[in-house]
Amino acid sequence: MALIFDAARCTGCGACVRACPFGVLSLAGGHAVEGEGCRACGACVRACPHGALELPKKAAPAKKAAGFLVFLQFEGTKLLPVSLELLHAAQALAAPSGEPVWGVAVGHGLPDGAFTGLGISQAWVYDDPVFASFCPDAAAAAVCDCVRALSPAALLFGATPEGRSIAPLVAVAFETGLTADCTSLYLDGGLLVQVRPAFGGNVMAEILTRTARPQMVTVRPGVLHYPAKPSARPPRILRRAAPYPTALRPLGFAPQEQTGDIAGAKFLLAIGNGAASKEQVALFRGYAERLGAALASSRALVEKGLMPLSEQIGLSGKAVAPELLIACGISGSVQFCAGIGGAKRIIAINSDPNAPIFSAAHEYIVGDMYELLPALLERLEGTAG
Amino acid sequence: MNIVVCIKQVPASAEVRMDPETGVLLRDSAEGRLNPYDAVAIEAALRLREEGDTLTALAMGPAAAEKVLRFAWAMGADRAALLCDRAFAGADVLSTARALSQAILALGGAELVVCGRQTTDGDTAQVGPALAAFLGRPCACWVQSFAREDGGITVEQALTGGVGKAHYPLPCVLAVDKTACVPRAPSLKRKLAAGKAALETLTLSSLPDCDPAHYGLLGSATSVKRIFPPERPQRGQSIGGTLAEQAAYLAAAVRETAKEGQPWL
Ligand SMILES: Cc1cc2nc3c(=O)[nH]c(=O)nc-3n(C[C@H](O)[C@H](O)[C@H](O)COP(=O)(O)OP(=O)(O)OC[C@H]3O[C@@H](n4cnc5c(N)ncnc54)[C@H](O)[C@@H]3O)c2cc1C
Repeated sequence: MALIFDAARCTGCGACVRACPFGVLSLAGGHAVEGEGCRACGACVRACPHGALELPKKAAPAKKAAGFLVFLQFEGTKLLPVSLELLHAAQALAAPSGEPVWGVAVGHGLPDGAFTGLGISQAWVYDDPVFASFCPDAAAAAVCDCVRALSPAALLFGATPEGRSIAPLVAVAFETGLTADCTSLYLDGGLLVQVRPAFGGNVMAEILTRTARPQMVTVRPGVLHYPAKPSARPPRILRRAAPYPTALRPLGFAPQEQTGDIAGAKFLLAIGNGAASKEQVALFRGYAERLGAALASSRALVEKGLMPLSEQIGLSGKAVAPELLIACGISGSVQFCAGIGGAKRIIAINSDPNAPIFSAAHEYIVGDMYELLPALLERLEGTAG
Repeated sequence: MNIVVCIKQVPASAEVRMDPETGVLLRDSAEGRLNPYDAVAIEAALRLREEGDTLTALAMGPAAAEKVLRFAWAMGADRAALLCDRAFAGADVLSTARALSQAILALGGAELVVCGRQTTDGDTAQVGPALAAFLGRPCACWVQSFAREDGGITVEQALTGGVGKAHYPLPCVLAVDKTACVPRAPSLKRKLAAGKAALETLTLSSLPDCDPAHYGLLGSATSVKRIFPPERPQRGQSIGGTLAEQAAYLAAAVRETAKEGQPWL
């Protein structure tokens, strides 16, 4: 039953029956009754001249929303690094006002110890066999349950496949906003300013969720770099069962080995549109091998089908944190640069003396990548031993 | 059963620059094209269609977006509907997903809704799951493979650390990845006929919930506070000199981080 009837007000006039676009309502015993298939569209509610019909209330927006809630994502019993990055960001944002930082997790067999040292005051743990597999509907129901209980001002998700599936479900349940892939966050007059590249990336946008709560964002792994403020104090742990079952039937999970992962590489050679043909990419793959570097690229080459998405650096690819990144023939779009904030040393090579990448780089060379790389290898290999 | 595939017309070039002096957005081209992810969604929907099913392509956008609907029809969709009203302008994810979910109801509902993984302009990948939430049904995102069986769709999804397999009973929503299948080229016959195919037009008043406050800018939960050109930090240090000197500089940097076992170490 999706509708709430007030039998005392219903006169059996039939206005709702006529208004229903799905033929779900009928008259019985002088009153409107609901059949199968109501979609809660509200057409009958508006049509009823007597105010006898009501839709069930959506999860009501929190009255006095305060505090930061972080979705803590576990792989088995291991917390993903992106969850820590979000916690550190939330702690920095909460520090001036002293608002609390909480964590919410779904999983199965999560030990209390997994939540110590995180610097959160409470951990809401939905531990249930259903969460042994990825069930976005049940996970979203759990997060909604926690949001209803805590009324947080902000809710932060890592932009993982799971986080990006669950967050929109929660956002709709509270009819609130959800800003994807933020590259920085700050508070202004109590509002969370959600900064992200927009309109193709040569423009940044600051987005606000003015009235709805919680203010929701997703952030890509490796993008935020706030200092850790670990705390030894264990949080209060609230264990709950899954509030709702899942509609789907999990059929297994095939782990994939992350071999040659650019996110973990110590030395990266990155190429972009400066090497926009198959032959040129092959040439640089050869150079990377001889240098002992992992090869990565901008999205330009991934879009051309010359490089795999798994080797793309940037906002819609991977954030990397190597000791050394040599970027060749990459202009330095904001999306690309969002992925290199963790690199210790960036040397950019570009033939354009005004290339924006020179602002992201620690050192840069205005020059031709097709001359510099062979010269570098000659230097290295020629002076071996 | 009814299948709806949601598609979008996006700018041919997603690149927009901003005049740093005036703050005015400069679009390189106003040309529109089908969001490339949605061609895959149309193909997936065609493959999931069985005898007796009706596949409807649905797009929200300006009148010009009928171009992508005609393309979907040419690929093989049975019906095509354009959701077009000024009331929908300026919609964020919440308000877009609400409008699409209402349009699906106005089309008679759908047991299966197929979306592309994301668009190339908004790039959020959130509308599929948000629309599923409005319809009150589960959504499978990042779909790598799909098969219709056992009263639902069995999917493989790219998840953290591997591939998950699950059966989503109908009704459900799928958001398919580019790798899920290769979109067919429309047949010449349908391509020629597409220009005359009858398109349905839905406006605000066609929707079960036609309260204008729920749509477009009014119905959006987010608003843009300001836009600005990306701030560029100070430039790094320039490495000048001859090619040989620059190569020597690079070589020194490489030696500092080189992995052991390199022949030149
Ligand atoms: C929603 C969205 C998300 C995006 N996400 C990402 C992302 O995650 N990662 C990403 O990289 N991009 C992303 N992009 C794309 C991004 O906006 C840029 O288009 C892209 O990064 C440009 O790639 P590039 O620098 O290789 O190419 P270009 O901008 O074409 O630059 C090529 C550079 O090569 C230089 N060059 C050419 N020949 C030589 C030579 N012989 N020697 C030296 N230099 C040479 C040129 O001077 C130029 O600066 C995204 C875009 C959108 C809209």
